[in-house]
Amino acid sequence: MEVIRLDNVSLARRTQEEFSYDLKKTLLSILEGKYRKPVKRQVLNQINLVVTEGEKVGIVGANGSGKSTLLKVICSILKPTTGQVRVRGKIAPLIELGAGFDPEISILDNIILYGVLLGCSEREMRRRTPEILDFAELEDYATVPVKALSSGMVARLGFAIATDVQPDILILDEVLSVGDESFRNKCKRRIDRFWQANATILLVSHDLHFLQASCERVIWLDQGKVRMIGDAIDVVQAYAESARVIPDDELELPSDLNNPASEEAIEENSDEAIEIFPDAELPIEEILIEEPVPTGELFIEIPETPIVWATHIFIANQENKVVDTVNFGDSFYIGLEYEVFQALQSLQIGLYLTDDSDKILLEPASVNWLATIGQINSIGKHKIYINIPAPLLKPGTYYIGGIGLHEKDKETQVIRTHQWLIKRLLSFVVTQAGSYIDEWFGQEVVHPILEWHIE
Amino acid sequence: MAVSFSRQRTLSEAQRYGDLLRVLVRRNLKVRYRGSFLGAYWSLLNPLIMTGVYTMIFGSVFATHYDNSILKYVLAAFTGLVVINFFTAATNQALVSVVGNGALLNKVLLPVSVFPMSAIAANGFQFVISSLPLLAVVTLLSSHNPLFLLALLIPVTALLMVCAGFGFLTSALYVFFRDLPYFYELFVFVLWISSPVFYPEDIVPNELKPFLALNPLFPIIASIRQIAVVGVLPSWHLLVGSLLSGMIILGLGWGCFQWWRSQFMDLL
Repeated sequence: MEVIRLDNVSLARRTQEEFSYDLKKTLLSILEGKYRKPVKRQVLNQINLVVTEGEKVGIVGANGSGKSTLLKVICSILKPTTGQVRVRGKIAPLIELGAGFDPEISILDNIILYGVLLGCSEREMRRRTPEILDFAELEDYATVPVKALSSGMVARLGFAIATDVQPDILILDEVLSVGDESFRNKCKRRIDRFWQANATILLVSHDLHFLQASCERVIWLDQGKVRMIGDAIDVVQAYAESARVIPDDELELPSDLNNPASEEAIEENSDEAIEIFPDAELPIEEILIEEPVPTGELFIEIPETPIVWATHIFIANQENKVVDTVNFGDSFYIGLEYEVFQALQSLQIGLYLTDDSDKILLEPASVNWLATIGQINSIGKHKIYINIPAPLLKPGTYYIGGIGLHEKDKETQVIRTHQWLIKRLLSFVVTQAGSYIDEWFGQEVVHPILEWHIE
Repeated sequence: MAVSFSRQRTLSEAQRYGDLLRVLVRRNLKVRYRGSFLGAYWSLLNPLIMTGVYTMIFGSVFATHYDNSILKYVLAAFTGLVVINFFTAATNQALVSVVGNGALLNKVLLPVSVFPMSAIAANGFQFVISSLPLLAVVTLLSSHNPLFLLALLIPVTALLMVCAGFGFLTSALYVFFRDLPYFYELFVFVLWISSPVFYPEDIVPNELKPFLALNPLFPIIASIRQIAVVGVLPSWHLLVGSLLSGMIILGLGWGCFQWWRSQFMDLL
C-alpha cells in the first residue's frame, strides 16, 4: 500500500536574506519606487516519489541539496508550489530533539506540552507520562523545571517522548546520539524496534554505511532534483564516488597557522560561511593570548549561544596530574575539556604545539570515526587528550593551542562550517635532564632517540 | 463487535486545536506565575498604582467633570487603565508569538493561529479572574442590579475580539517586518492617549471628537464606565459600536492572517 506519493513536486522559496525584512526600509523603497518583489529560489524541482508501507528510505545529498526541505514537504509543513503530495497515516518528526521544550516549566508539564505539539491528545499524554519518565530515567525529577536538567537529560527526555508517539511514518533527520553509553543502547533498541515493526521510515544521514545497512532504497538529491533513486547500495556508492560531496573534504584546515595569508583567508570566509569561535566579530589575532595562563583555566568568555565551548586545556604527566613542566625524556598528555551544546553532524578537534617563534611542531587532529560513532560530537561535556611520546621535544618553552571544526544543520538547510582556532593557550617547559646535549648541534627542532652506526 | 483502535488515535482538527490551545495557555500562565503566590492578582498592581498616581495628580482638577466626586474619577481611571493594560499586554504577547515559535513550526505541523490565539486567551483568562471580578463588584455597588453584570459582558466580549484581531494582524506582520515592535509601541501609545483613560471625555475639543471615535477601544471603555461607574445601561450606539468594531477588527485580523499565512514558512 502506498503511504507517501509525490507527483512532480516543485517548491520555490523566498530567500531569507531580503531587505524587505524591515518595515522602515520597505516603506522607504516603495516611496522611492525601488521596491522589488522578493526573489524566490527553486529548492525542489520536479520530484516524483512513491513510498510503500513499511519501506525504509534513505535520503542523501550535499549540503543545501534540499533534503530537509523534502522532509518538510512530506510532513506538509511546507506546501509545494506545484505538484501534489499525498500522505496516509500519522507522521512523527524526530528532528532536533528538545525544540518544543519550555525551560521554565516542570518536566511533567513539558511531557504533555511536547506530546500535544507532536500530535497526541492531552489525555493520552497524561496516561503515558509514567512510561516516558521511566524510559528517560527521570522519575525522580518529574517536578523539576527543564532548565535545571543537564543537556544530556534534556536529549533523553526529547527522545523518550518523540519515540513514544508510535507513528505510522517516522522521519529521522540525522541519527541520534544522546546521553551516555547505556542510554544510547536503549535508544538504539527502540529504533531497531521501529525498524522491525514495519513502520515506514524516512531517514537523512551522512553516515553512508548506516544507510547502506539499514535502508532498502536511497534517494540522492542534487540541487533540488532527484539525481538517482534506487537500491541503497548502488545509490550510496554512486553518491560517494562523486568526490565533492564527502563532507569532511569540504572542511579545509589552514595548513600553516603562522602564515598571515591563511589567517586572512579564514576571516574573509567568515562573512558567508565560516564562523570563528568563540566570537565571530573578533579578528583572529585578538584570540592569540600573549601571556598564557599556566593551568589553562577558563580562557575565553562564554559566548551567548555557544555551540562548542572549550573550557580547559591541560598538560598532564604519566600519573594524570596536571603539570606545567615536563622532564625531558618523560612522555606526557596534552588535552582539552569542552562542552557541546547543540547537536552537531561532525566535530573534529585538533591541538597544536608551537615553539617560541610560533612554528608548529605538532598538530594532531582527532580521527573521524570518533564523530561517526557520536563520541566526540554528542551533547555534553567531553575530555579529549593525546599522548606525546618522549624523548621528542628538546628542552625549552612550548605553547599549546586548540583548533576545531564542526558542522551543524541549520534551520536554513544550509550546513555551515564553523571553525575556531586559538593560539598560545597554555605554555609549558620541557626541562633539561642529564648531559645529553653534546648529542646535538642545537639547530634542530626535535630530539628523538637516534642511534649512530659505524662500519 | 469490531472496534478499530487505530482510528481512535487520529484526533479531529477541532479537538487537536483545543488541546493545543489548552496546553499553550497553561504553559503561558505557569511560566508567568511560577513562584509568585499572588499569581494573576499581580496584574492588578499596575492599574491600581497608576490609578493612585493619576488621582493624586489629576483627581481634584478633573473631579468637577465627575459630579465633584473623586471616587468617581478613581473608578473611571481604573476602568480605563484595566482595559488599556489588558489590550497592551495581550497584543504585545501575541505579536511575537508566531516568530517566537518559528523553530517549532519548522519541525512540526501545527495550526499557526494557535500561537497568537493562546497569547490572547492566556491574558483573557487572567483578565477574567482578576480584573473582571473587581469590575463586577463595582457594578453591583453602583447599580444594585445583578442584570447589569450581563450587560458588562458585552463590552468585555468586544474587547476580547479587538485584542484577538490585533493579535492576528500584528503577529502576521511581524513575520515580514521585524522592526514592527518599534512602530507598534508608538501605535499603542497613540491609542492609549486617545482613549479617555485619565482625562474626562468632555475636555476634548469638539472638532477632535470624531477622531476619538476611530479608536476601537473608545466605545468599549465608555460603555464599561457607564455600566460600572455611572450605574446606567449604556446607550445602544455605544454597545453596538463596540461589538461592531470588535467584529470588524477580528475579521480583518483573521482574514489577513489566513491570507498571508502561506508565506510565513519562508521567513521563519
